[in-house]
Amino acid sequence: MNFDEINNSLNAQSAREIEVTVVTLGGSEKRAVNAGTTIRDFKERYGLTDNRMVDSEGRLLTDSDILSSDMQVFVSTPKRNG
Amino acid sequence: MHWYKDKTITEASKPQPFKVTECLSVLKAMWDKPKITELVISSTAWYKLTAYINLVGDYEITGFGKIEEATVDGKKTMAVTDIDIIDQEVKSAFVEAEDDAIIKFIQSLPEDQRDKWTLDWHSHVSMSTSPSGTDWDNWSDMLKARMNKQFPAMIINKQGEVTAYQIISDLDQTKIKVLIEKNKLDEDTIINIYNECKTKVEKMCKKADVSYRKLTEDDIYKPLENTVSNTWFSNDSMRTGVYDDDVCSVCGAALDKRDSRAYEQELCPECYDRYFLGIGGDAVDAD
Repeated sequence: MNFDEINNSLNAQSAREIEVTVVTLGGSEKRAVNAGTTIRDFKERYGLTDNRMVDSEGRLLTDSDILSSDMQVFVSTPKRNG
Repeated sequence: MHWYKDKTITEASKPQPFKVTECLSVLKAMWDKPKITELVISSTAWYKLTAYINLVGDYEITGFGKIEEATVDGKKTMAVTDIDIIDQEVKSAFVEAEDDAIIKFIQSLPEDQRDKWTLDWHSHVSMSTSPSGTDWDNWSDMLKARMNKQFPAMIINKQGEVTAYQIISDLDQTKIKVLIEKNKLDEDTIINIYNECKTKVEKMCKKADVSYRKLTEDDIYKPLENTVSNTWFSNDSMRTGVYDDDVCSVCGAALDKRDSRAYEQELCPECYDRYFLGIGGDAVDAD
């Protein structure tokens, strides 16, 4: 097994930029991140750690999920009024 | 100083590069001019709002509204042209919707309309339409969830009073002048609106199953399940649902099992220091 080849391919992937379209109640915003960024890092970077994030199929994105290609994510927070 | 703090061991770890939190959107929003200073509520939207807030009786209700450019009396303005609600739990002094309900709502909208349904509204039954602390807090959370894009927020009551703000940033909110298009709709349209709203309320609004009783000394150590009660830690706090054993009943922070006195009373160490319990009485602030 050639570990250098594997590591180099992983490095190449993380150097590639992908576009994440964040859809919220305010509309859509595009953000460019490196492929291989975790959802946790993405949330921390954009101050969304308290928000729920799902993909276009409604699947909940967890902190350990990895952004590897262009995708659309939906974000919200609970609504509490009174 | 709590005993557990003396026994805390801190291990230094290798310094890691610091990752910044993006705040360019915060800076761009700061001191931004309000995008909406005047809002006209169309007759259809007003009939729907009136239907929703009356269909839930003495409970609060919440939803979103569609805002579009319109010409009123020859003048260009912004108008609320439609109103909708989301899956929610209605209460007499609060209304709550989970984040997945809001995401479900966003996903139900046609893609080209997602930036139009920006109005955040809720009702105050018969109380004043001034925003409460809960409202300001939630609008702040909503601002972050909208990637710091300003949005209009409105409160309405059964007396037809309306208060609306343009939430620009955490530091800046401006009042919106609200006008209501007083145009009587024909009976068939009114009946259609009524039936549509009634169906949605029956499908989407859930009422909390609550019972009230005064806490006694025995209740200090026994979590109440499926009840709502005025806790005596704060004069205006109300909690619903099942108590979570691992969460402070005042601030929601994780409990520390090493501090048994605080843990038994479902308080985090800080809140245990701050409050002590008055048996059957009001909250007593240790300060």
